[in-house]
Amino acid sequence: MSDPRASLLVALADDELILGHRLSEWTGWVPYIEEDLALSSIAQDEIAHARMLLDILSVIDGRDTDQLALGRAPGEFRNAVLCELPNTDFAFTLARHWLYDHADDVRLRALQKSSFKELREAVAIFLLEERYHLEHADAWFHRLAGGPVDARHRFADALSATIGEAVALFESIDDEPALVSDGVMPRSSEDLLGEWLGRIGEQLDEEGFDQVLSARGEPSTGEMVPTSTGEMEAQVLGSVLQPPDVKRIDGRWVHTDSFRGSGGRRGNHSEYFEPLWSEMTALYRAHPGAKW
Amino acid sequence: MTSEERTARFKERIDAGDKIEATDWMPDQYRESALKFIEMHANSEIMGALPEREWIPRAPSLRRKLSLTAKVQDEVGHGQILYRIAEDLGKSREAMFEDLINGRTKFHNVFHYPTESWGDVAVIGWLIDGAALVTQRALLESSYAPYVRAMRRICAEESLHLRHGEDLMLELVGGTDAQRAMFQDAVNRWWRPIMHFYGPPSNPDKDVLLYWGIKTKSNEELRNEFFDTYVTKMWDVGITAPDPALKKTASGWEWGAEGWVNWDEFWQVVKGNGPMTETRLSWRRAVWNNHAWLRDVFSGIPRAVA
Amino acid sequence: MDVYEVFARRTHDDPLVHAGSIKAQDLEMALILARETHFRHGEGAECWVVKREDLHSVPDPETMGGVSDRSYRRQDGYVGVGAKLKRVTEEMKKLGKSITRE
Repeated sequence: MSDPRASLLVALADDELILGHRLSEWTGWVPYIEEDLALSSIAQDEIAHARMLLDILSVIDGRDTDQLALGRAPGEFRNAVLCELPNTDFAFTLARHWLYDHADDVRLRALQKSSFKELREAVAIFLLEERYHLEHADAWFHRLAGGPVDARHRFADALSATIGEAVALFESIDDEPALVSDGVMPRSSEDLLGEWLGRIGEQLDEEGFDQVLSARGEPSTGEMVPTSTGEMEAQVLGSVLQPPDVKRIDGRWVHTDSFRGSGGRRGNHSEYFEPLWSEMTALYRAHPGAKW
Repeated sequence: MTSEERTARFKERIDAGDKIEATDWMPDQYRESALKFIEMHANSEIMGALPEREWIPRAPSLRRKLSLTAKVQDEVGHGQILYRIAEDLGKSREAMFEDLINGRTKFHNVFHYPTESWGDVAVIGWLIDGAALVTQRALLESSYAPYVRAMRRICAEESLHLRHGEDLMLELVGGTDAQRAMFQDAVNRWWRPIMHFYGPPSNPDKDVLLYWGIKTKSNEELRNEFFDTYVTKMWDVGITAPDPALKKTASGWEWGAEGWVNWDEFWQVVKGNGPMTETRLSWRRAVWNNHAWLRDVFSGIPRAVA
Repeated sequence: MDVYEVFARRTHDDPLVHAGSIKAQDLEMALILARETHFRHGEGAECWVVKREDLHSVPDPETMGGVSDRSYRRQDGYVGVGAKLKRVTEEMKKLGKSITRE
């Protein structure tokens, strides 16, 4: 009988690891040097948080941290699909960053009251570092929302492209009923989704971005994206998961339907996951048992 | 005071060990040489980030994924510091960046080459950073004060990078046979570019940078220091250099077997014809051009007036 | 009257440090007075003044540099490297792999 806490740890860790991996791909490329430095620290934070979560998981699971990070098969990963999407351009990256970091904030605050002591302690540290992530994301949100027409347009498009997968951050995780009844998860994913939608919905409305939540996200055509080898490819992003219904009720955005498909939380990933996984893990897997 | 007298007085100050600040009067040649030198240094830091960052996504452990990201971040940070200093000498960062990505200004030869394995990451982190640190320590005596202060911070961070690079090397050299071979193979491929790093034998009397004290050591002095520090260590751990002439003698180091050194390759790379030069610059151009909208965010929208 | 914070460098080699503050009506007065308040003993190569209201501190300074384990980017993360070098060098000597070319 497997420990349900492993399911929570793996979902949290994989979100941070895969998103951290994507963010770290920007290091050296960002077309604004000071911002390159800030984003790189944020990437390192995410990877460091993944490491801390996998350290806790390794006590339950038995595999060591690097085995968990780099030795699992693709189907074992439980990150939301949002995290694995290629960086596309900077507007996309900042839109994803904003949506993700607010979601992370909502779930971490809830986990502060988890019955799982080691997780609670790690979460306290994460929240201290996430404060900066939110400040950074919000600062860019407002700068782009209030910026030149082209910037605002690109950012709105990027938000539309990412919102569907962002909602799926809150798809229920494996073993969630047991986790909720044990108090490991003090609040359900659906409950957290409601809070997040309320929060971002309000900010989107304030900036006049309400079409982001009301229209269906169109597949976005990615622009030049610097991959690990620096190869430039145009990416066309389709949406794997049909965005579930969100409606405005009494002036607030709420989630009104269940998730129509299954995504990352069920171990189903997009076409972008396998190349990412392959690149991230190839060297590790080529030398079993080696120390680096 | 005539311009000649001012310049002579300025040269006297430099020879006496005085330091020059951004706000001091400078002869044109001093300003232009310093700007060009610092600009190339800044260019090298950010172009140097590109070969290494290829391995961030592929790092074989989480700790190394973090440490390599932090290291590349530092190189970008050094670029930030140096571009700021260069700006204060009279050229905007945008102009310097446009000149770089359009091939009009230069960056160090070693960053024009491809990486092929994690062994390359260790070679870059240990031998190339080591070579750079030898140069950068010498710049701590530069006559241009802002550059000296920048170098203090940069050298402190580079010393950390060096320990990191040494750690990477030791894990490979002391690891499996495959890892050892990975490192030796990387050394074999990188040794010539590293020998080219300090430039061909030059005439110190004709070196404008030495004249003004912006640089304080000759290419040969720096290269010998590199050999003293790194070749002995390399040999201690059983790693060979592919230069057949490399030998320590009573009077210093012999190196550069006839026909092996290939200064033609160096001059080609300096002209912008290195194996990865155009590829890397074209990637930078693409990212830069696709983000003109981002630069518009910074220049701001003029406030509307009724 | 405004408070001006005063910064100075003792010699060209030193970093800019906070020397203290003064009160002055305007920038011109601040520049004239700063020197005699803080540097009359010949302690400065450079002296700068900034209106206190123009100085802004970054929030949450206690989290600067990270809160989680950052040893991978600090000297304390590499404390064992010297010993590692020694161990690998000795290993290679034992295996007959060390090289000398003199």
